[in-house]
Amino acid sequence: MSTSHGFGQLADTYDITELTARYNRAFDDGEGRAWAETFTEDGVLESPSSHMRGHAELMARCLANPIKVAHVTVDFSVRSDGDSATQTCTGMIFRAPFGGHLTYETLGRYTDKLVRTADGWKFQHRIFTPVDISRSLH
Amino acid sequence: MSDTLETLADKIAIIDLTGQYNRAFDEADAQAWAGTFTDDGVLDSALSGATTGRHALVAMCTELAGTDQVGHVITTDFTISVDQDRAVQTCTGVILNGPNGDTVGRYDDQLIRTADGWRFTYRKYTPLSTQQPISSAI
Repeated sequence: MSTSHGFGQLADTYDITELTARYNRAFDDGEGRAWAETFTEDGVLESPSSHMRGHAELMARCLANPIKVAHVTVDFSVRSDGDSATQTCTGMIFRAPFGGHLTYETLGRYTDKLVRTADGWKFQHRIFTPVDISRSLH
Repeated sequence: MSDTLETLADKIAIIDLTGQYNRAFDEADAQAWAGTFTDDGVLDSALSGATTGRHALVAMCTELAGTDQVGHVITTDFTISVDQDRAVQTCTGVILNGPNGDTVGRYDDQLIRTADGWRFTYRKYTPLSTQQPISSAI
């Protein structure tokens, strides 16, 4: 099993972590179109409480978000193979109402499938799975 | 679409510089921290205002680092654009145990390549809770 990356895979890994950062910031800034466009046209975002498919549903979800939030991702594991890739990363979501105090919302794991398009890497399928911290700390 | 090896190396070097910035401040190493800036570098923080030049930055770090006036900084979600000897970076900063508790914000950075490597010419930190609410940003 090979554990080292060639230059192409290293560049893919970097590009996919940047895509993830743009996903976070676009949602946090209420930029629905930019956020939706981190996905393919038929891209899917799943969580225990929601399922969205396609740019129109995704954009509507972003624009409907009533409370300022901050998405933060760390611990990226990326594997690319030609024009497809998978990523797992840890996500933290904070609530930050304007003028109010920051509060921790949730911690979880993103499990992603991506494809390379003419406009760069896009999410094809994202699953967010919250982690039960109270359970994992014991 | 993908970066050249040189550009990717620049981006990794800038992320490394950002890590040095965080750790030097945490360790109250004022010279090393101020050394991540150019001689006339500026730190512009919504929390403390603008501080210009290495001497002022050294004094600021010496005064504040290790006190309860600042917290511990973690950065992630980097997006970087490199244009020859200049670069811009945006990244998310999580400040733990700061004067306002835990906060999340954004660094918007301008950098230049020097004989000693990349250095910040301008860093702006904006805590999320001071940004405009989404409803007025659309």
